[in-house]
Amino acid sequence: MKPRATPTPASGGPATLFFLALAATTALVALLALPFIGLLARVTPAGILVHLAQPQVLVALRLSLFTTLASTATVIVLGTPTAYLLVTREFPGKRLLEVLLQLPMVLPPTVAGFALLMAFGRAGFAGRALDVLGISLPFTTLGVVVAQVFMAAPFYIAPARAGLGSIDRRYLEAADTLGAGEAFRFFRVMLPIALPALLSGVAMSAARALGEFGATITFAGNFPGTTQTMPLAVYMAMQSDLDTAVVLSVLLLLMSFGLLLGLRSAPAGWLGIQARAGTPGSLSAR
Amino acid sequence: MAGAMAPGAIAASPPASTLRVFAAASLSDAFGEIAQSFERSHAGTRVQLNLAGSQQLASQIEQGATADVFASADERWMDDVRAQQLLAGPDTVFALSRLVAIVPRTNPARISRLQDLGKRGVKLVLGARTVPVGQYSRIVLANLSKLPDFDSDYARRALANLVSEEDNVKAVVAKVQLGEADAGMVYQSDVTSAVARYVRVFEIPAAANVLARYPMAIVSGTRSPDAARDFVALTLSPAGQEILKRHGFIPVPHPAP
Amino acid sequence: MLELQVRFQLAEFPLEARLAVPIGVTMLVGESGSGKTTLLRLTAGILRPDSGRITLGGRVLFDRDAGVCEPPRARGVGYVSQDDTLFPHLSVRENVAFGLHAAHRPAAEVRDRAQRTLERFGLLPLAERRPRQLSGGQQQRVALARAVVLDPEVLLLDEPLSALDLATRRALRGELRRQLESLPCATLFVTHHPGDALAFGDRIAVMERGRITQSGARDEFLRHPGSAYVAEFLGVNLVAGVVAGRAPDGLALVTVGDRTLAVPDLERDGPVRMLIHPREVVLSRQPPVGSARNVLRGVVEEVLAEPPGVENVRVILAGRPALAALVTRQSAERLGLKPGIEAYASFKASAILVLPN
Repeated sequence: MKPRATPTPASGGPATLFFLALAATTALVALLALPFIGLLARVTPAGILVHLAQPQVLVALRLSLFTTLASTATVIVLGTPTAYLLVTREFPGKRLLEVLLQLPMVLPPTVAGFALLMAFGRAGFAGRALDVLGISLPFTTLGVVVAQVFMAAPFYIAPARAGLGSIDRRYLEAADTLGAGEAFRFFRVMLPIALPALLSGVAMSAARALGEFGATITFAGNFPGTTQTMPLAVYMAMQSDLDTAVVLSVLLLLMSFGLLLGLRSAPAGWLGIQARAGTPGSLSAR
Repeated sequence: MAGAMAPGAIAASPPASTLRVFAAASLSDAFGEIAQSFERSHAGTRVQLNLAGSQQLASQIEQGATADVFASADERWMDDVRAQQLLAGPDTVFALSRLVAIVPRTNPARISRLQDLGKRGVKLVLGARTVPVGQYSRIVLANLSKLPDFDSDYARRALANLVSEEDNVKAVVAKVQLGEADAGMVYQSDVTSAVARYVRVFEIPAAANVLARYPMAIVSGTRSPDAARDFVALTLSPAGQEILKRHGFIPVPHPAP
Repeated sequence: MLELQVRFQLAEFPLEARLAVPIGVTMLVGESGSGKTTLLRLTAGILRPDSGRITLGGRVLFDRDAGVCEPPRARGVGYVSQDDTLFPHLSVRENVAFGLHAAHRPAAEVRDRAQRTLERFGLLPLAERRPRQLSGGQQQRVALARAVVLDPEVLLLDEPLSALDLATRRALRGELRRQLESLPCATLFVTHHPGDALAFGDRIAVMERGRITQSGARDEFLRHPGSAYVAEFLGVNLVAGVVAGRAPDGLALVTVGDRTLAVPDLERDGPVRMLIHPREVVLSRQPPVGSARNVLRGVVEEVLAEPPGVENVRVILAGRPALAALVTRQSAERLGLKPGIEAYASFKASAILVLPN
């Protein structure tokens, strides 16, 4: 029998707190749901299909899918070892690194895009080095991926770190005494147990990359097929062709919704994982 | 700064009213000055400038944004708003402008003349097709192709060099100024003294250049019709025309107030 | 042979322990908080001693002065902790095979050894289940199997039965004893439960406030408990009294509570602590007539089934002090010993062991 997450108080006592909470939740739900409903109400499935056929829409869709896939893969490959190091090691400057990794989350995207230009633009100090290697980032699809990685990475690293850090220390001790090397322990014990948290992080990061706008348009530019991802296409379409803008927006909405829903619940279920997490003996309770 | 109360006007007794002026991005400096002048002579009124690409302003007005005056960088978007029956009266052209080509002062693509915009590998940045300056740029390129000094496929080659389409002219300026773009096309009024430090200007032959026409109109449903009328009048007045001229625009020959 | 000599600062006192663990089962007993678990974790390599030396056979696992500190995975030490640490995402079989996979053994060998160990611990019917589908006792068996399959040189068991309810614990004890007896390794078994200590354990070591205060063969312990804690732990009668005088035959007369005992081999005066083994106490319903010098009368307070087997019962006689006697169940039934019944306890003077001061 699964234990309840938090105990509910015994019956009796005023229900005031419950109703206050209910009122607050209703207000929040209304604020969040109404814009989505307003958007969905403006389209019909037939309308979507018609506009989907437009090359502008298809091109933006394809570019968004490709860049989001690439940036999310990059974030996973680079972010997972980073989270692992943060969880298992102490080192000088660790606090600074943590702050650095959270910075893109709080930075206005346009500011981020501008900063990226300063560093990786043609005149930027890193940009000049890349130039020598023949790599140019502004106005390229690669630049879009870089902007997405920059903005979305913290959304993966934070939950990944939390997930890995909340693994009960005793599982890891058991793995150690059973002779597991560090890599074996990571892939066979930590990763499977923390998988729900990691997948949740992937969903958040992918959704953020999919919706990335400010840094992209400032750093990578706006050109159909190369740098005009769906959010940029929506922005441009909104200024002249509202129907296309609505269709693109609805598509983005549905894709983000699907990402969050799909990656959060399903896999944990069919993996049958019910590990203890967040107990006092866990790594993160150092 | 537009929007701030002029000193001395604090003692005015009538409650402050706001005049919302939607103006094309290229007008930012000129209208900033006109707005200040307006506030000085109309104590108690604040001018709120909304600057963006004309296509975006038109879209906002059509979506119900509150505006009193609309100043567009081309007639296409003014007509678009008129077609939605959102204008209170006829529009008047209050300024003209021409395009210039600019390259960063460092000139990474070694552009020495306009023809070089068609060279392979040049990173060209223009306004998007829906933005007035973008539309004008494409017309200019087509016109240049017809000149004897230019190849007939010059426009095609130049447009093949397009790497980004910005949603307002100031973004084009920024990309060139930062050195990210090799070249761009903007209004001559955009090459302010501040910008001029970072760019080189290439004049476009008059035979190929466009004469951008800037119309202005009062938006229907305005809560401040008198103030709106006064603002338009100020823009068309010799004083207003002088301000526009100083910021690089071409004054209208016989402005009709 | 595992040899420990370590120092480690705990919150309230330093742990300074010296212990040799030969092949076979050594019970490590002590109160909660005395440092038993810490000692195991130091041996396993999960904690690092402040100073000292740990050797296993000829291998040095830790030597502060020589700068040696082997990580847990290199020690060849099996560790089964109190709570369930079975990997939740793996089946029973995969859990048992975990260490073999970690050592990168060939697939055939892994399959083979895992299968045999599952069989040995009676886990085959449960092999494909997940830990959460097992009972507490089953989980402990899997945890043990998982450690044993690796043929460790040392097996550390940290109160493996403590999380189980009494009935399950009793049931598992016998099975566990059989399993441990057939292992070729040195086993250190921590418990705070006296029944466990007496059931297993060729050897017992006692830990008090971070120090090993006594260690040796079990029978020695039962004959000569070294401290009050051990005596109580082992269920031996420990009484304290004051010398009140001498009997004509040279025996000392010691006042204990409201009784007087005749105690031999007691030269000194003043306060004295003595031990009477429950086995030496003879019970009867009538005042006994015999050679025993000490006869006490009291009311039966409790009759307890005595672990590990249930042939004996422990009868507690109320009084100051209370006395425990060990008799066979048949005797208890024959005498009709039940709570509330008056009975006589008698024991020879020679059955009293005087503890050194």
